Amino acid sequence: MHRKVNKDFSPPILTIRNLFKSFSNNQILKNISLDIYKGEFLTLLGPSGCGKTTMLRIIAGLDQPDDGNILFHGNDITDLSPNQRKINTVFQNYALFPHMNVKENLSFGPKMSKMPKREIEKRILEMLELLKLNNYGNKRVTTLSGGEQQRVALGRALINHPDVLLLDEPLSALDYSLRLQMRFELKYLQKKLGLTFIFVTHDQEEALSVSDRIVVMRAGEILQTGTPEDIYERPTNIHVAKFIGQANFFDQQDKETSKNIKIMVRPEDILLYHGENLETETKTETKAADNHEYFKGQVVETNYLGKLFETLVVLENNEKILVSHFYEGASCNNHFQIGEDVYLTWKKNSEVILDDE
Amino acid sequence: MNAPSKNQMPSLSIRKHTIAFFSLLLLYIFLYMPLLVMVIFSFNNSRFSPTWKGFTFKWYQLLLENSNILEASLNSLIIALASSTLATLLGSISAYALYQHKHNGKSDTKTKNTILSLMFIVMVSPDIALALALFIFFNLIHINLGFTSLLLSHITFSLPYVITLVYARLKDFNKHIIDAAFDLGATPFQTFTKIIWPLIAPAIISSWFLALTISIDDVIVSFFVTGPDFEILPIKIYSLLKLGINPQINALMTIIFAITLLSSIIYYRFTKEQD
Repeated sequence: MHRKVNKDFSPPILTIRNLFKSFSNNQILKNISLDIYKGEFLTLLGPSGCGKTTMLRIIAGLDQPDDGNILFHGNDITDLSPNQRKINTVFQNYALFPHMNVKENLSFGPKMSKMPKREIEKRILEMLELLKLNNYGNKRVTTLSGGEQQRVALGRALINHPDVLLLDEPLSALDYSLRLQMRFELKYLQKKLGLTFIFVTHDQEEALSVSDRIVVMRAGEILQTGTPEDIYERPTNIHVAKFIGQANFFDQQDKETSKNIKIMVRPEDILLYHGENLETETKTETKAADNHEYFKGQVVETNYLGKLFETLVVLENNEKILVSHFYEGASCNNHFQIGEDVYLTWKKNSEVILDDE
Repeated sequence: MNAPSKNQMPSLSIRKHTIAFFSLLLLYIFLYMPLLVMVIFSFNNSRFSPTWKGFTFKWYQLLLENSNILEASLNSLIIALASSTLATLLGSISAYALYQHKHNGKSDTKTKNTILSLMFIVMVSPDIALALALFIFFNLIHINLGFTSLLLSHITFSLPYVITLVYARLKDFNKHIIDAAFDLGATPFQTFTKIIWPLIAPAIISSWFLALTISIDDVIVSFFVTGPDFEILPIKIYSLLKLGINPQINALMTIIFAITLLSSIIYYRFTKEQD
């Protein structure tokens, strides 16, 4: 079920080579290299201060790297100014020009590149149509709602027909339901126009839902690059496991090297049994958890989330384990009470073994 | 239970309303009566009498023939225009520098706030203190009191207002819009003319207006720092008043009041359009 990225048969549209950037002794980017392919939705994901926005600004040409190169269609564009790159940006908080109406905002880019008037008119209509802003052309942008402003910001960038669109946390200022809706719209637009999107966010759920590929960053370095499934199911690094979704860790020793390792299991992969009938239940269940040891613990908290039900268990060694499963009613067998003694283990092959850092 | 309170409520609110209305009326009478008296007496056909002796334009005529007052007015206008323009220019550049100020690559709020506080101190400190300080300073560096000293003084007390106003406007706007302009292909010059200027122009124009009015208004500082060769209007009027109330002054003040009223209306219209 991996989403297709045609990186095997076409050269990258954008190549980032050994990028370094510091702001007054504070190293923001430490030797970043990355290939970005035509038509992919690539997300730079990481906590604030990890360098993702700086990287975007360097690609846009708004900041200069201390060292390293940016290749665009194989040509070095590191020293080119923003207006010499076929790359446009959608900024955080939209950054619309408040003294202009929607049309004037949209036509700013084409006017700067001295496009003929007729062509500009044509493209404005195209954009208004594409972004469902048909009757908004003469409205002042300050009177628009957040979602509408977001669309104008998108249109203002797309009207220039860039090869690559950069999006810097474009959805962070919207409320939750609008954010969900805009995710789908972004994804739809990107596929429809066949554009390359480089999307920056600190919201892991957003990253998982829109991306073809995710680049997880931390403290100026790339931790892991892969499809959303790769990142979630097979994190290669304890920080990635912690940052994406929720993770439980079991401390163990490697049997061969006797090195300390951590076994990472997602909350939905934990199997939880009532203490008194461990025997009977494990017999009737699928033998999903064969060959595992069982951990004894006590339920300390339960959390009803509508679709899901979370149970927090404290093991005998005081480790806390979060368990989540679909909620099927209070009378159901996998409903647990606070204070109850339980046993737990995990589904076969659902665990990921990581180095203890 | 409900009925009596229902009956009481309206009467209480009407009474409150009436009290509020009359206190407001009183306030406006208090504010505008002196101005009104001044305007009326500028048309009164009598030099000394406080009673109405018929309508006349005489005082206005005499005013126009009074070269002393006209020269002082002209001087005032020159100083006001020059000092407000220079203060606006200098102040806007300073505000921009303050806005862009960074320490170790980060916005340095501490220094900015200190500088702004120092500005406020100049704004709220008594005029007499500033006046004396400037007077002593000009004597110390041997600048003759007159046009130059007056101009420098007026720039000095206008600057903090300009800087504060323009800085507030700059601080308000989203820094990313400048990036957005570059990203969309604008040159630095185009970014200034098409984005930055239209957004900060209202603040710059209103600070220029403010500087102009403060300059025209000032008596105390000007009194200390100007010399006998360069007389400006407020001081001229003050010296005339020592000889008793002259209806010509009423006429002059009426003209100034009319100009102020007119420019306030224009200014109000202008800023309202900007929003």
